Amino acid sequence: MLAPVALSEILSRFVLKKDWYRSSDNSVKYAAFLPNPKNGETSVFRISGISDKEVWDIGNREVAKDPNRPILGRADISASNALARGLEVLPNEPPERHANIVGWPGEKSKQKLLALELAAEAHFHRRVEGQVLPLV
Amino acid sequence: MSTAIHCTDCTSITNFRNIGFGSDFKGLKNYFAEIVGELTKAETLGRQEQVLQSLAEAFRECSEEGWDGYEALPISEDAYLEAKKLVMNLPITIPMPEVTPEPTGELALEWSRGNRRVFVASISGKNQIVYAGLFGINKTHGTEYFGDSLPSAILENLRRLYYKD
Repeated sequence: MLAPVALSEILSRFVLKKDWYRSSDNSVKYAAFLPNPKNGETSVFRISGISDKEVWDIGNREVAKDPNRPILGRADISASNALARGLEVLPNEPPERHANIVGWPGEKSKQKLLALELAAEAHFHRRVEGQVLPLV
Repeated sequence: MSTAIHCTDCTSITNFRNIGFGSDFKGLKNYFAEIVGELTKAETLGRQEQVLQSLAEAFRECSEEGWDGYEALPISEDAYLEAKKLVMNLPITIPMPEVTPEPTGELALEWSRGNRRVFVASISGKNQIVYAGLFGINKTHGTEYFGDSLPSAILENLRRLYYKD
């Protein structure tokens, strides 16, 4: 059985779209956290306790499957930020360390508001040509 | 006979509303387009042109399913055209937004003034604007019908972001 997600765990959302972060101040935009329209879930990875290199390896292996769409960065957020807003984080393996943020409201404007709040609490790490730049 | 009607609720000087008819109206419309063409050389309206280009780019880049690396829906042409209309209707006193495609296939316009001071309005091409905003500890969200002109709720929230709170 998969271990439940602890409040203190850090979750990574990989970003493959340049319009989903601001290069001016290296912050992530809300759209990165909006749920998948097909299943209503936001796919994340549980990265507490592993190295930075291992985190990027997960993104490359599990998310950036199309070589034309590389990982541009990742937004890290504490699980407590999602839970405090009435969302849930459920482990969902395989792949290893994968989880989903679920429990999004049906109303689209409410989804946007929650995504704005998650983005405001997230730390964005930009990836530039194989080099990892931990910013913010 | 032609009639031109004074616009009492125009929110943007670049948007010429189709509320007249006849040859004089057509001539007036062309004359207006020339004037706006000159004005776009100014910085603010030049920025509007940049946003329109960003919209076109987002529409092109996000026209296939899965464009976000997950399972995003393609941006529809209706959403693109309606987002253009929103940009053209923005008052000149409001800074131009950034363009953000959403996984639901909508195009959003985003105004950000730093952490927890942000307002987004997204367009699906169905004559409605879904919006949400953070104004420090205050927040808002909702949906408005989008017809010929920008809904007052959107304008009020933009003014709140830039001139209040």
